[in-house]
Amino acid sequence: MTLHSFVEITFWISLLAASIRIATPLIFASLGETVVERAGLLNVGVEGMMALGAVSGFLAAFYSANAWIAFLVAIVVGSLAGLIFGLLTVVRGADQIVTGIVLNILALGVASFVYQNAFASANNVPQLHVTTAPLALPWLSNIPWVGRALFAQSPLVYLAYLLVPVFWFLLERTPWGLNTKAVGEHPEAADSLGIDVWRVRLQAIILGGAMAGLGGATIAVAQVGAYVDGMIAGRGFIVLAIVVFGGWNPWRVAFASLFFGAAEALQLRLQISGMGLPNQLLPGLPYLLTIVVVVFVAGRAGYPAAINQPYLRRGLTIMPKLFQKSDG
Amino acid sequence: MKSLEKLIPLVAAGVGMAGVVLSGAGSAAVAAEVKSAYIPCGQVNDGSWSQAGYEGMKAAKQALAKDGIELTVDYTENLTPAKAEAAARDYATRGYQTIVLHCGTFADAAYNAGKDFPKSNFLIVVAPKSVDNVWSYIPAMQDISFVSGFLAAKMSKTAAVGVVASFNFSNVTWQAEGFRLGARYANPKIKTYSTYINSFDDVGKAKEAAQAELDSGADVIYSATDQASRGIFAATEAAGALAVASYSDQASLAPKTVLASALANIPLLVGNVVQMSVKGSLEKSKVYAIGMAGGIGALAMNPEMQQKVPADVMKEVAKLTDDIKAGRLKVPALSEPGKSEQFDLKNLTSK
Amino acid sequence: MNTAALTVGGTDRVREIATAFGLTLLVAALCAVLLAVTGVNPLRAYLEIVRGAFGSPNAIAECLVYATPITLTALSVILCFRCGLWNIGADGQVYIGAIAAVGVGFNTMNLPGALVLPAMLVAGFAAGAAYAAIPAFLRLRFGSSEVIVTIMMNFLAATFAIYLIGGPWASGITPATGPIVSSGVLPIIIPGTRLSAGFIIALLAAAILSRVLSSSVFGFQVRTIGQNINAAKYAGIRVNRTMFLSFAAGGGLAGLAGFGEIAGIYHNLPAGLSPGFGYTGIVVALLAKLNPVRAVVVAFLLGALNVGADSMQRALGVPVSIVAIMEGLLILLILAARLIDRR
Repeated sequence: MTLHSFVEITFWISLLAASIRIATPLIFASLGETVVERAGLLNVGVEGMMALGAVSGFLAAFYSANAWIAFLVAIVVGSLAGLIFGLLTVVRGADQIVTGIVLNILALGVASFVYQNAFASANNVPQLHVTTAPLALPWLSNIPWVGRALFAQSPLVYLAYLLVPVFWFLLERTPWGLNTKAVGEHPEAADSLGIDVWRVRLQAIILGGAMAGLGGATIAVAQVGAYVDGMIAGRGFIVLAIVVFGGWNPWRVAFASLFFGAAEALQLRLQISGMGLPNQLLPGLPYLLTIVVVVFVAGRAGYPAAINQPYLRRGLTIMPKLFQKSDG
Repeated sequence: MKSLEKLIPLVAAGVGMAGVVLSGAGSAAVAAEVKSAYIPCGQVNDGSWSQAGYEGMKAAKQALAKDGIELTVDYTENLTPAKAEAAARDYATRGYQTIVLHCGTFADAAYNAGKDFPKSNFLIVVAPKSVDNVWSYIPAMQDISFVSGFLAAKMSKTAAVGVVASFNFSNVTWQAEGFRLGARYANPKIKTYSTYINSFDDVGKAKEAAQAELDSGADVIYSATDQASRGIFAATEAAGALAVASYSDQASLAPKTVLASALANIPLLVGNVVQMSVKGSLEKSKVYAIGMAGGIGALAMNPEMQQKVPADVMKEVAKLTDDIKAGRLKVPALSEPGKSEQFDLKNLTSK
Repeated sequence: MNTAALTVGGTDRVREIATAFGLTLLVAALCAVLLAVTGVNPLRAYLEIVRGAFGSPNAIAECLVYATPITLTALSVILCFRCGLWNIGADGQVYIGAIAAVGVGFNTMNLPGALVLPAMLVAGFAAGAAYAAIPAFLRLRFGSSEVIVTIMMNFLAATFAIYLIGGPWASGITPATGPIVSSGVLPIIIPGTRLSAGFIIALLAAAILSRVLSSSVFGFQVRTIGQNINAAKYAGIRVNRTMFLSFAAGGGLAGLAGFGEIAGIYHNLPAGLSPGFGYTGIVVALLAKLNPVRAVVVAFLLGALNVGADSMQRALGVPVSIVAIMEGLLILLILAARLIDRR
């Protein structure tokens, strides 16, 4: 690759395809976290839940040789992790951020322990091929130029395309979605209207955990076909930023994920572009670009009003509001 | 009988004292039962760097058993540099005679612990110097990486190969640049790519890095990424390209795409230095930097792929290996990414 | 339907204690099962943990070594949080503080020996403060989310550190930079251990922060903003300025943690400097109920848990992941057993 490559269309097509691949697990986890935060919970434990999804999905794929069973298992495991988070924070009123951080430690330990006990040595674990083959959609993948990048991808990518409007619909057009948002903005008001705050929040976090698990399994099963300790590598924290960047709106969250994926794909290609850019600084490019875009493009930060406050059924709010909207 | 019984402790004491006197030259004294500890970066079953070192510990144990020395090998895993020092000091406090720190980032831990615990031997990988009771051992992997690059270039149909590496740390960069240099030696016009992913375990990123190189035309990718190599295999297999693994024979993990594995014979190196440490034969201030001339570095071909490699290519690889072992060709240790592109190939064989 | 009365007192106290007891048994049982699965006697393991943490002066020193950086990051979180702000960027601030401290520590400016250490300390604090000031400024001026900016800056700081280690500051062979000058080394306060004067600095910082929060005008302003931002405005407090200053000072405290690790432990900049000090600091801060002095105690206890568990792992050959699981379960237990954090 050279500087000249930037003029070639094939470069941009491969960049687009790579951006989508990198973005897919982020999209799943971010959609889930969007719902969770709209409900008033801040789940810093996304990283751990993705790791649990990765290890359980991988093990299920390894033993069942069936990708869909693997994703199902990952979703179930993620949901359980979400439920644990929910029980601690919603029912017991534990601080959400601390719970999330500690759950990360616990989940990463569990994932490592489970994998170690399943295989005596990683050298005995051959690579999986379960769904790494792309599935070209008929007709759509023949669209000139972008057809292959958009529509000759892993089936998980198409699932991500579908889930974005589904989540939008869920939040904006269903009673459950409206309840969820009410609970995240004014739990007392929602409570007085007869909405069961606890139940909605628990449902939201279970969904969030499920999506995080799916995200982790996407990398382990669909993209690579292996599990390695530490493979989530901070994506869970990127998800937290993506949700805010996308303004808690599923469409914009998906776009933010794609943006981040594109920055990452670009950075890798710049390293081999022969342009003499420092290999060791380029890995920082996605983070820098995100900051620049946030400063000049994204609007005001606006977490749901009741975020990170345990609802204790008598309107007892304990924690100072997160990121108060101050105009002073 | 009674007099014999009384004699035994005296003899034992005599032998013990003799041992103490004789040990003044280099390392700490030896006993029939010795405890050793292994402190790696990752996990002992990771199929990569950390496992290779552990295999070395076990090999030392077996070899020493033949000499009547019973070596216990204990280990801890997944440590940060701070914890590594705490671990090293802890083992030393408990009387462990040989403590192996198998991670490039643990150098300070080794030197600091070594100062406070003179009775134990500390073996540290890829460290700048050997001081008192701390010895550095370095697998000079640029040799075998060079050979891998040579093979890769010969096998490449697109005259482009690449390497995906973890961090720009000396030990890793030597390999990456060694690979690229070897490729150039085979084909001076070849294009070589190198990408750093800043991680040992981000398999997703490794895959995308490999894919970016494949998109640019490379068709053989060398892995200098420890456990994250899985990502590289996923990319190369899907594209019908070839991969070269490192540290351990990973052909069984992805038999359809792994052409060969660049073995650093780390088990051999670790096994040897541990044995020397236990026996007290480590030379003072010597850094055990060993390349192919010393037996460190071998190419393990994937039997399933063997038929794809033309016989004359294998002959050339064998000759190259011989040249390096005999010192006729010296592979430089390049620590800066990109230096291999400017290196004058003639300097490889000049005296 | 919502009947759980959550006042503390009377029969509910009994319920609290019963819940706490039940949860303790549950966690102890779970850990025991885990340990048994790996072939280890749980009681012996628990004993080893205690011994590993408190059994020798070296062990206690190690607990304090662990506690030093997380005390400082906890103080950082406490200050910010008291002002109503979350500092998720502490990890990045630790790295930047460390980088600055090392940079000064090479002493290319040839300062006289006695000035090197204080210069490093000031550099560490200032760099951390500046690094925190950036997201604070972006928030106050452009309304940009400090969550995104700080998370991104965490990654950037780590990347920058790796760049320096592999590139301009490379020592030649190890994944660390070259050493700082010897006058930049914090003295060891318990000989034969790794405990440096960095711990004293952490204690001082806790004492100072405690005093500032309770007795100074600035502290009063910070607390008022944290409790009720509108009341603060009506009281004429310059909210934006105070929030900015407290966030920057919080960054400075985290930067001090970086300085302490460099000057006290490593004496150069190693790869993998912070195994999540920023996040652990958040845990400590909240378990300590945002009290600076209590944070020191909590940090020590957490250090004891860590050091003890690691020692147990080495002594009994238990997998390292078990240690993480046990620690996680224990802290979750503590979180679950409390009902309300009244502050």
